[in-house]
Amino acid sequence: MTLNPLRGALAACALLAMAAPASAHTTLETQQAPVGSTYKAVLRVGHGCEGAPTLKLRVRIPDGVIAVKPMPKSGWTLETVKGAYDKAYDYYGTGMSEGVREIVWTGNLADEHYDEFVFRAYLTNGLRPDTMLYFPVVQECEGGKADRWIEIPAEGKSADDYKHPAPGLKLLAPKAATH
Amino acid sequence: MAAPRNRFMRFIIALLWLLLASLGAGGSAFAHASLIGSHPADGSIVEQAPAAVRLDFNEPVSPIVVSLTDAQGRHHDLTAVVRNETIEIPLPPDLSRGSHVLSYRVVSGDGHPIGGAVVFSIGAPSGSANSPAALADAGLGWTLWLARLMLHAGLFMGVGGAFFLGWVAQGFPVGKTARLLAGILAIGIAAAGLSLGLQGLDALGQPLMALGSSAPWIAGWKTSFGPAAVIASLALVLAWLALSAPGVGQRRALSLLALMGTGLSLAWSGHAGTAAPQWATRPAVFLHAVCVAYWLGALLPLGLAVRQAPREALPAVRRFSAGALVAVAVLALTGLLLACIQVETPANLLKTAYGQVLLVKLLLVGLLLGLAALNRLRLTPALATSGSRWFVRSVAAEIVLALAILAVVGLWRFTPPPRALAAAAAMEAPTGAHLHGPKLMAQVTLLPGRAGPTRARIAVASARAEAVNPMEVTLVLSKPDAGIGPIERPARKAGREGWHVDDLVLPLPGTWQVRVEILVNDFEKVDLEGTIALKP
Repeated sequence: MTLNPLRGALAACALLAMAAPASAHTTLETQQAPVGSTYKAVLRVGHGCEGAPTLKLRVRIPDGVIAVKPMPKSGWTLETVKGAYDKAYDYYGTGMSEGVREIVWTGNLADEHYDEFVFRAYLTNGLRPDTMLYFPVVQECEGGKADRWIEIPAEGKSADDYKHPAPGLKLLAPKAATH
Repeated sequence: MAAPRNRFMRFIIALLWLLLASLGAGGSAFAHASLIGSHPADGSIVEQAPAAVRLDFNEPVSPIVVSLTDAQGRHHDLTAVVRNETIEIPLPPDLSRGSHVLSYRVVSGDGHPIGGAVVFSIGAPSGSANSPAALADAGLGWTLWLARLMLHAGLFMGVGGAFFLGWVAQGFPVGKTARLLAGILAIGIAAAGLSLGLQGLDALGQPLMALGSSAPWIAGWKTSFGPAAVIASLALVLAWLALSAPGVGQRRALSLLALMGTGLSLAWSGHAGTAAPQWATRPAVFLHAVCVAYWLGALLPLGLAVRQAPREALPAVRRFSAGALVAVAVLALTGLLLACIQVETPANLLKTAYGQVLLVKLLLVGLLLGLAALNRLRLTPALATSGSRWFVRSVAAEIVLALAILAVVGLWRFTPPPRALAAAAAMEAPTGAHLHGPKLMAQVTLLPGRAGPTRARIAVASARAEAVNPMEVTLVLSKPDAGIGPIERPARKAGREGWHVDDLVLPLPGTWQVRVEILVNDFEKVDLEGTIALKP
């Protein structure tokens, strides 16, 4: 039997695909993106809080992330909290100084079920490539329980060192201008 | 030659693909299990030692390490039985009363381990016996006091009386006096035995009803009072033998041994004999007790002898009186030394129960000395001329005063001296840690700062010492060198005083890792870490 690069790639993809749903953390599906681009965030929620069903998911939009558009979900009501950005940003030639700072989905997700929550956002050029960008998420559940995915790893530590790490995204260098 | 190289290259490329894939996968975090509940629950107090501890997780886990740090601080490695989300850990069979910490590390999903600890107490939290415990019931307190009074009466009046008859007053008519002294000695022996069981009841915190079982007697034997009671009983028996011994030499030898035994018994246990420096306090208590026995022991035979035959008793009275001067001097010196050590400052005489007992005792001793001086200077010379009536009355009053002094001194059994109170206060002294981060700082104080049950006070402020108002504060303590996993307790907001954690049990002294997790707002959490030192 001979191994060729294609089969290797297939095997690797299979491994990735198998690994992803095993997560019980609330994480992002795409975990790296270049700055100066629009990013589609898919938040994966694999568990309720200590067995209790999820009733609310709140996402805090970090500084430097603008033009946020959440995707409505059937069965869930969608709200956004708008506010001023930390400074004015340039969005394709337009100045933007305020917008969505928090997204709130309200609905019901049983502990045994899995769901995804989607929004689109622009990662501004001011963000530094080769750093991590975190989207703190609060998962509110039945009985007043809450899982706060808001821990941002300190210097020299990784998300694995925390019980409730915030979903993270590795920032890459901007793509070479093609237009 | 080309074919194998090609295959090798393909293999390398495939390997690189796999590596890349696993790197990508590594970026996504894997399943972390969390503990949903445990039985017994974390921080709970159970009456009976549980046979096993059950831990419930939110998803299937497999244990890596499970261990128990028991109430004595011993480490037990345990094995767990796994059933999906639940693991059950059979415990060692003979767990003692006190607090036990079960530490666990489990893996779930892909193999990322998580650890934690469950603290449970059997009966009561460890270390609660160290704090000055209230007597199990008031009846026990009075019985203890009465037994101790009878024992002291037996030792001082009985043994002292035998010594007086053997050394000071030979030729006295012995019959009636000896019978009376033998009775006092017998009561003393009974009281010594009873005290042992009562002491055990007190040590175990059991009520008087439990005296029928063997446990309090064994417990009493193990306290410092155990040997003291045996020595006292020996002294009492020797004195009884001295009373009935035929020869003068035997009487003297036996009664002297009994007197030494009395001193030794009192020096062996009790507040004073166990105070530091022991090279000073033990001999001081010994001398004090011997002189008390010399003095008080003489009263009964002296009174009886003078009443029967005043003139014949006169030489013995004079001999006793000469010895009593030395005895009083020694009593005063040793008493002063012990009081200085025990009371520490004059203010404690009025402020503490121990000091107040001492003041009452000194007042009674003053009266006794006054009577003794009256006897020596006025009534003894009068024996030769005007008769014995007042002398006998005075001696009877001295006996009553002596018993009153013994009764008052017996109260010391229940009043720790200021020295011990100060030491206890030092034990209760808090320990703390200051944790500093770029945004926030926290002061964690453990009160008392020693192993056992304790409380935590957490004050949170900004790094520039401005007041902050966090949503939640969680205290996490672990002792990795002893295998004690993180003990996690949510803090309760207590107004302006900061945050409190009350149901904390830290079973071992030494250095603990402390982490304060501060939820600043819905989306912001700050962890502050440091170490904290616990006294034993």
